[in-house]
Amino acid sequence: MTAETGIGARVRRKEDVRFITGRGRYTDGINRPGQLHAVFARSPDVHARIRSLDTSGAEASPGIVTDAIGVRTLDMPATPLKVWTALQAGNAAAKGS
Amino acid sequence: MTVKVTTTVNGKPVSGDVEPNTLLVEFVRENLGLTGTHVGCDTSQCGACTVHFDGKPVKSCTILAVQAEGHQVVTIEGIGQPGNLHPMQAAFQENHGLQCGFCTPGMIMAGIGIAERNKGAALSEETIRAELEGNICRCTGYHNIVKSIAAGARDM
Ligand code: FES
Ligand code: FES
Repeated sequence: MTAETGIGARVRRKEDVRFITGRGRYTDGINRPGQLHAVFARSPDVHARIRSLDTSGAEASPGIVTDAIGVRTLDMPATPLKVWTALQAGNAAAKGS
Repeated sequence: MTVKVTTTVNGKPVSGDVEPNTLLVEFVRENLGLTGTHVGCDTSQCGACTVHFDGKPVKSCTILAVQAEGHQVVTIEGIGQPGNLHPMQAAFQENHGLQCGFCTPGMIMAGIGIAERNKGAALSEETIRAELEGNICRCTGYHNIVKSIAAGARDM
């Protein structure tokens, strides 16, 4: 038997209506004036060292904000293997890093 | 090069200029701002992008916006609103058919399709589970989603 109130009673979630009607807000649905989008270049190779980066093509493309291009990561020390950082710096420890 | 698409979304005529390779889901989310239709995988696996295309559920990441030319598209925003829910939406709320809600628009749109395809027949749990194979939920497990679709189908 399910109680109608109190302990054991069903509780209607307050947040459901927006999710079932397509009005939920997720990061990918947010669009603010002047908003930028980040694009990550992933390593096509396994355990590769990044020797150089050429961003001239990206910089020449319309709408690219060059300040945000992560060229500076080259100056950082190579990430030791077995240490997993969110963004790999001097080397690509795995395919897709 | 862009091409012009003219179609009907949620009963309203809409048009927009898109690259020819624009997916229907991108058109709906980015051109029309209807962000209730979600992209979970972009590769036709998860069903989060399910919309109704001429009344039938389709994954809107599997078709091009230009293919919608002259057709009827209905998204989650078009089936019911807060205070005036579609029976399938109400059933998901009543049966705890969601947690984070990301898969939910697709589940509801697919659920309506299951109910309509099986109209007049007793809709078994087995049928619902089999026909829901194209929709993935990372949160709830499917138990309450199946319960929600059964209840929604009864009320439709
Ligand atoms: S985004 Fe279309 S099936 Fe996953
Ligand atoms: S409720 Fe979170 S993915 Fe299904």
